[in-house]
Amino acid sequence: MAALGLLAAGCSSGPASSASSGSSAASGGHVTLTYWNGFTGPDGPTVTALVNQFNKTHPNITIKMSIMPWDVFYQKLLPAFASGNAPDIVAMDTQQLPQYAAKNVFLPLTSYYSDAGNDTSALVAGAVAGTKVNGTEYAVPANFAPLMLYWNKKLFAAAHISGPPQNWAQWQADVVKLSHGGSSPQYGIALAENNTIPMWPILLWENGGGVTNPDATQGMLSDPASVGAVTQWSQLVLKDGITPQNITGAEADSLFQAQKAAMEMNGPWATTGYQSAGVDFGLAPIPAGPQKTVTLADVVAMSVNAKDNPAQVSAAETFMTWWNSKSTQVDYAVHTGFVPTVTGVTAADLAANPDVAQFESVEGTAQPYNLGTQYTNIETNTWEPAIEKILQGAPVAATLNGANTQVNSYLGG
Amino acid sequence: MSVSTTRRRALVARVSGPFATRTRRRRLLTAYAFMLPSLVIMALFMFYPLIRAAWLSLTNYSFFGASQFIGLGNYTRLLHDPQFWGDLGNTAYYAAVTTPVSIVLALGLALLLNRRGLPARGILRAAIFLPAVVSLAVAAIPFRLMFTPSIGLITYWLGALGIHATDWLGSTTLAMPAVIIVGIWKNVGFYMVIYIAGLQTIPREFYEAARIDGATTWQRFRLITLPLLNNTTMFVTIIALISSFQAFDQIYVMTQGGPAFSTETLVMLIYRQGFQNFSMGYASAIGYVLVLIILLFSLLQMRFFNRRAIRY
Amino acid sequence: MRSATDTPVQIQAAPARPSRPPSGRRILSTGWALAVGIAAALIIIFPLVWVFANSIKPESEIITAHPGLFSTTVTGSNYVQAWDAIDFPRLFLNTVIFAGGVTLLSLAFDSLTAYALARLDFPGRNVIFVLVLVTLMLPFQVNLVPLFLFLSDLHWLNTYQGLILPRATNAFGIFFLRQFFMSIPKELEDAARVDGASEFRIYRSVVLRLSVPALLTLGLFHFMYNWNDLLWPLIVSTNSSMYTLSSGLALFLGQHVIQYGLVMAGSVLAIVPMVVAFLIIQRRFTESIATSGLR
Repeated sequence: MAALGLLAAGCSSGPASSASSGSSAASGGHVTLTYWNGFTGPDGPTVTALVNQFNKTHPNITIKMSIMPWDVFYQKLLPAFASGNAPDIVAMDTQQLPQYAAKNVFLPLTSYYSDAGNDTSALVAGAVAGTKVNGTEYAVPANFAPLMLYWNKKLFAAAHISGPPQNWAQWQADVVKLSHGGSSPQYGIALAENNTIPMWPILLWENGGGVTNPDATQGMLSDPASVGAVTQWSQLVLKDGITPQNITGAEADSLFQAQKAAMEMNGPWATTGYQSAGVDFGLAPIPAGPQKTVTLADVVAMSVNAKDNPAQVSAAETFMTWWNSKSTQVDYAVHTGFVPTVTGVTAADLAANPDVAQFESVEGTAQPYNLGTQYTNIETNTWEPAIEKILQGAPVAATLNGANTQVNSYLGG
Repeated sequence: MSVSTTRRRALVARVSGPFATRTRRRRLLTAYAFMLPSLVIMALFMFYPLIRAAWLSLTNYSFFGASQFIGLGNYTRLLHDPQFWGDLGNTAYYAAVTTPVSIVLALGLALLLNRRGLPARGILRAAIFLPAVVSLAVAAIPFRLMFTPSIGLITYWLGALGIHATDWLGSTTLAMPAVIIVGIWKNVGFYMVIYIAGLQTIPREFYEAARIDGATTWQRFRLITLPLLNNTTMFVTIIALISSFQAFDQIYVMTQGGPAFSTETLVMLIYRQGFQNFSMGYASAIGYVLVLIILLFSLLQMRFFNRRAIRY
Repeated sequence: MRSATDTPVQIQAAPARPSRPPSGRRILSTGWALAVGIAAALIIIFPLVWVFANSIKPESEIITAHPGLFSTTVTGSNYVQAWDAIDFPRLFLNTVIFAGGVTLLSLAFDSLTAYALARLDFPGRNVIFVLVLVTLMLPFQVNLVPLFLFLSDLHWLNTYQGLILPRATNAFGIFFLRQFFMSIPKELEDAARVDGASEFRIYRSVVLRLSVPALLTLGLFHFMYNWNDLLWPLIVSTNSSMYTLSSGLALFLGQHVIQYGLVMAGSVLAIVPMVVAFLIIQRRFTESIATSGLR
């Protein structure tokens, strides 16, 4: 609570307080910052309302936000940086962050994090982990979402399964029991592998494997643990039809919402949609894997343009601190379903949206999907085609070995 | 309508002699005066960027940092890139199916909906033209949902009949046909309208005369319609081929080039290399190769059609 | 003596024809034609009917276990929400200015150039035509970055001229009109030329007057293409005050959650003006054929 007091004091007194974040502020000067992000969909209005609130309560700073679809965002960002028209603040998925950070377009934020006045120790560890590139933080979390297992209570009851699976043995048995083909097929789980939040990597992690090692310095696809995980689950897909082959994240969501799939690993944003569609679902932690229990941390984080002057930087930092203050985060979480980026938020605070509290309970096991600066090459060019081929029947070990060689060539080169 | 003798002599005097040179120059200036606005805009906003892109294709430009001149390095790289060749194959497959099917369907529908006495022609034409009006990114959403098994409306209806529908978009063999269907769907109405405009320039008297002479429907089509549609057909074929080589929107929305790159075309490769991998220099090189391929095909088509052109 | 500004006369006066009742065979073949036409139209229009049907369903009923084309619950809430969420009137105005501006300029410039390529004989004509075609073959991804950098150098980003001028002429339009002009019989122009009319006069009074259907068609195409264009306006404008309708619609496609009902409703709202425009053009189209007198 003392932290809240510090933040409140910091936020309300305008430019004088930004001196506490260590940089010289233009006293009394008005700073306008442009902020680009991809918060389309139902999140957009909430974010817009919060930014307007910031602008009202901080008369010396104006944030001009531009929301655009993510694919347009990435197409605009590059030429914008090349021509010097880039925005001051950029929010992007932390999977993409290393590629940009490596090009030195973003400001390293080590001083921001080490400054006690910014109360960065309250931030969720999994979220902060996503902002690090080679050990240096290049961004501040903007939103954070761990994945949980959604399970359809009605379909479980119909298959005489009493509750959600607790470990892999139960999980694998359950998906088979819940799947049946025929003219109106039902799937035990909706497992997406492209255009989605990473679901398959969670399976690899829980078995002790991964696409790369946590530092993203070496490929792990040919590790026995990775091969084992992919073999087990792809066999279930090919033999028992537990999920359609090769579906996108949106299709997986549609399957679960149409009650054609009994389970799905998904983030908190889907709860509202499923509820209004009348799906009677429960939330459970991802079942414990043979080696560990882990889930994915989906993190979008804000970075600052490396070319900004000190006044702009300190204004940006003021905004980022305000964004991650408890009151803002509770407001944001309750409206969008994202888990607050800061710890110390109780279930009582989140009473208006109780699902968020459930997601918050697994934030300790959440880790980001980090592929380093070779993200696109590894994810789009190597990993996704590999798993797609395997799900069409290609031999697991051989395909993964080939993929791993390619991954290492990207990482080594 | 005949020109009188004095006129003709004046005309001949105009065409030869010192007056003629000035006339030719005046004609040249007139022509360029007509074309000036378009040429200026094209020079500034299409050719200048194109030349700049040519320069980029000879470097390793990646948006950030200094770029180095690497000569034909990008071009040799793409010759050895299996992704390039695979995508070239996909592009050829897409174009080879989409172009003829769209054109034949469009011509058929145009002939159908140009018949005199056919009721509700306007509404039918509007209905068939409608896909061209919708943005492809939006139209691809219903298609994607309809092609997805178990939640799609079509598969639901088929399921009620006991037919288990396959997953088109998840199969490496069926994804391309799915994307082709959407491509044809989008453009058929568009080409049909162009054909209708062309059909309307054929004087009805020709058909009357042919009918009086006892020509069958097929003969009328082959000997009057097709030849007189030559200009239109040349236009439609070239446009259709160019547009099929550049197919992007529906593939991007429906399959993102997957699964396993089975639907990725060259244009998507350019997008991926340029905007996701930051290798804009390499992407520009691929773009240039694509332009050369399209140019080659278009020149061949033009020669084919020019031989058959009918000029008044 | 005829001047070029006379209304074009009929090449062949159509003889007065006594009206003949259609033969039985003609009715049958018309019936078949109608059936095929209706079937084709229904198949083609089905996905769009699906979009409309979903736009009047509550969001929760769009992706369900038992999908039906229409639902028993009809609601207009998607439309209301879509209208408010993206400030529809302003986006509409921006789109009209953008698409309208491009169409008008393009019709003017394209027809001038097409006339030169189709009717004026000058050295380098074929070269220019091929160059024009080449611009059609450029995938926009190749041009996008250099063009963006160029506009940025001109400080034309986020301006109307930056948005409209690069599109103000179009190889498609030039090509289309050239083909059309080439198929107009030359007698009238030749007569006018012999009479001493300037090229521009011929262009304006003879050729343009005869090309109304083609110009209407092309105008519709240009308008439609730019109406639906998503990427270009988004790239050129750096703040949302210049966004067009497509960009507004794209905001409903979230990264994780797609608001299907809003996308469908917004799409219907965006399509309606284009459909109306097409139906209007349709009628003018056939009217202009009837009054052109050449048929």
